This record gives sequence, C-alpha cells and structure tokens, in this order.
Amino acid sequence: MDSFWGNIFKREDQQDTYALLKQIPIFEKMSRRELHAIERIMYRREYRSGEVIFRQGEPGVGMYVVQHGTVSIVFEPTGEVLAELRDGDFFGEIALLNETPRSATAQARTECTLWGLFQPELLDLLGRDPRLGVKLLLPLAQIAGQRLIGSDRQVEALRHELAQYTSQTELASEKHNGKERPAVD
Amino acid sequence: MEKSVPLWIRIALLAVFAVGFFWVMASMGEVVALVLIAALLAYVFDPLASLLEARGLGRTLATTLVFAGILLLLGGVFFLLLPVVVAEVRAIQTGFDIEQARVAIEDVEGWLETRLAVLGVEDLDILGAVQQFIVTNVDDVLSYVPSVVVLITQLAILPFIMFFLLKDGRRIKKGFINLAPNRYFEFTLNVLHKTDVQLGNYLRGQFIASSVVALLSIAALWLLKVDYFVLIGLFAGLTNMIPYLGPVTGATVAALISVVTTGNFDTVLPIIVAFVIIQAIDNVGVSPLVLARNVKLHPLLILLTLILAGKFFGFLGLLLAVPVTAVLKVFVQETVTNLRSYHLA
Repeated sequence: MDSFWGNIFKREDQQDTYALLKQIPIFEKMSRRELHAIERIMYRREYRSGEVIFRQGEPGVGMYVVQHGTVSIVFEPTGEVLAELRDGDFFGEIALLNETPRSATAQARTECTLWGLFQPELLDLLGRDPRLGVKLLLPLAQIAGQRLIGSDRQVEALRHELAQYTSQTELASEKHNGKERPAVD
Repeated sequence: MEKSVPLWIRIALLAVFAVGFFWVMASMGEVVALVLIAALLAYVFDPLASLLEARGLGRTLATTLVFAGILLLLGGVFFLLLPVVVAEVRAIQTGFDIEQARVAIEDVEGWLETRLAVLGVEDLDILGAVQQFIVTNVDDVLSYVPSVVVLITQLAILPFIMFFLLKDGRRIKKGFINLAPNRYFEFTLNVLHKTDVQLGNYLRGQFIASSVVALLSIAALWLLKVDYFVLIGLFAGLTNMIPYLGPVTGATVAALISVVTTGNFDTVLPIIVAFVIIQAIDNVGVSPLVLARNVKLHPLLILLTLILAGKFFGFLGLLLAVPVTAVLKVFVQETVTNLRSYHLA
C-alpha cells in the first residue's frame, strides 16, 4: 500500500530529479527548461522489493530510469539474471521507439523509485515540441545503435568461436577416421 | 495476493460498484452530463491547442487562444440565434398552435375519405388519432427540452469546465494513470492510449459531420421559412450520428412541424429534397474525409442507448448517448484485448 499512496501523494523534489535526469546519457545535453518539460511527461513510480515492474512477453510501451534501488532483468523461464541495474541506469528503451513485447522480466530487487517514459507521451511531445522531441530521440537512437553494434560484435565473436569449434571438430573427426582407416600399401 | 480473492466475490464487487456508479450518475445526471459534454468538447479541440503549442506557445496561452476563437465564433452565432432559440424553446413549451394543425389534418382527412370511399371507408378520424398520439407522447418529448433558465445556466457553466479540461487535460490524464497500482500501471497506460488513438478521429469526425449537417439544415429550413428552424437543424445535426435512422428522423420532424405550424403540405417536398441534398453532401463530401471507420456502432445499439439515456439523463443524455457509447465500446474492447496480452485474465 505504501507504494500505492506514495504514487498518489508523491513529493516532488525538483533538484533531485534534475540531477538524476542530467546524469543519464539520453538527457545529459538538455537544459534545465528542457529537462523540466521531459519530467512533466514522465511517471514517478515506487516499487517494493520483489515487485514485478513488467513481465517478459507483455506489450512494451516505454522505458524506465532507476532513481534509486536495484532492478533485476530476468530471462524467463530459466530465471537467469541478465543484468542488475542501479541508480541512474535505464532499461526498456527499445519499447519507447517500437512497441514490442518485453524480451525479459524486470523485477525490483530492493525498494525502488523509477521514472517511466512512455511512447504515447513521447509521440505527444514530438507533435507539440518537435525540437525537444528530436533532442530526446537522437541520443536514444544513438544508444540503440551502439547497443546494436555491441550485439553485432557479440554475434561476430560467437560466429568466429563457432567456426573455430567446427574446424576443430572436423579436424578431430578426420584424425579419428584416419586412425581407423586400414593401412594401404 | 489478488489471486486469493475468489472470482465470485470479485464479480459481486464489480456488480455492486457498477450499480453504485450508475446510481450516482443518474442522481447527478445534469452535472455529470455537463462535465461529459465539456470533456468531449475539450477532447475535440485538444489537437488545436497542441498545434499552437507546436508553434512555441505555452499550454495556457494556447488554450486561451483556442478558447477565445471558439467563444468568438459561438458568440457571434449565439447572439444571432439566441433570441430565436429562446423563442423557439418557449413556444415548444407552451404548445403548438393546434388550430392550424386541425385545419390541415381535416383537409387531409376529407381528401382521403373522398378517394377511399370506393373501399367503403367513411370516417377515418385522423384528427382524433393524432390528438390521442399528441396527448400521450408530447409530454414525454417536452420533458427532454430544458427550460430556458436551465439552458442558459448550463451554457454559462460549460465553458468554464471546458477551459480547465482543455488546459489541464494532459495533467489530469497523467494523474489518473498514476493512480493505478504497479501491476496494472502499464496496462492502464496502454489501454488509455489505444482508446485515445481510436476515439480521437471518431469523435472529432462525428463533431465535424454533425456540425456541418446542423448548419446546412438550419440554413435550408430558414430558406424554406420553417418555424423552429434552429432547433430542428440542431436536432438534425445530433440525430445524424445515428446511422440510417438519424437523417430520416430529422426530415420527418421538420416536415411534421412544418405541417402543424403552416396548416398545409406545401413545404413537405422541399424539406425532403433539402434533407436528401444535405445527406448527399455529408455522405459524399464530409463523412468520408473526417470519419474514421474503425469505430463501428450498430444502429440498434445506438437506438437502445438513446432511449436509456433519454430516460435517465434527459436532454443532455440524448446529446451524449452516441459519443459516450463509442467511448465505452472502444474502452471495453481495448481493456479485454489488453487483459489478455498483460496476462491479467
């Protein structure tokens, strides 16, 4: 119930919010006025330890920034923890650009305060303040691009590893076949 | 924790809540209806305020400008039409001039009796039947027409509510979404957004189509010198939201009033022609451009809603029946769809 009433009677601490948002890469180049406009379209949510923020497979509509607390990103059904996010980290940013099902579950590991930014508000902002909308979208696209490059590198490394593994296996099997082959004069 | 509450208790609670909600709505009918009308109007004009915001204005200034524009436009129309509307409402409430109608009906009766004499028809007593019909139905109809004082009070309060809803609508919506418990937060946000997307075009389209039909009807009936042309025109605009039946109702009411007030059938054909032309303009030129086809309401559903809304909420209920039904339909549809995708049902 604390989080419920906390969400209703929230205490806005402008200074804290400004400092928090400023340290996030997406918002770092924004002025105080611009951050204030962004803050007005964001939702401040409080979660208890263990509470699920969103579940894998649910429609994703936006991203969250961790103000304080720890959030686990869990892959289901194995329960493998993919990442642990702390103050200033953000997650779910792809859903902000494209409404896709959540690829993992996000769960509060401790008591958390999160700021949510969602697609409907982003689209609305783009309509009424395109300059600010672009200023928000560009770093978001850059970060998505960087993460894509990172994923490409990972795929490349895995492909390389797989190729090495395949050639080693082929070599081993050739050797094995060679030993078994009867000697020919 | 929520899963431990048995389903039947949840259903019973929901039913109690629904009945309570309906009771509150019905007992505060006029206030609720005023707020709803203001909300719908604010919703219709929201893109205009957002457009001004995109030009660099603050929300308050943008809202003030939109509002000033609407007031100027309405004010102009209103000052031209107010005396006519007040006179028309008063005239309807004091009753029609039955004498002229009696003469007209007796003429028709005599004409029919001479032609149907071959079939052995002697006394049709149409007048008796019509009088009986009027006695039983006019009171019901008149209960939908608000008194002049109530009408003016409502028209004065409406802009205030509308201004604040237009200015702070975004903040109010955010406040509502923030009330949702964490488990239902994204679900609520998504349902409201999807409802908004579907309804936006529909309601704005209906508003434009109805306004065009109302204005054209007022102009046509004024040219044809039909009494109560403003009220009939507004009625035609409103009923235009009902597929098939609406336009026929508008034309029938106009024709009936013309017969009753003039005592002859001279203007009936021109009225029908005018309404056919207005419908052609609406169906070919206006509706295809402004109406989104994704919100479909069955004519029967609309009819039943109109009857219920008229019964419980009076005149304002009739005004709101179609848009509120559309809002509820889309909201329920989106809620059911999203309950599944969020694994809540």
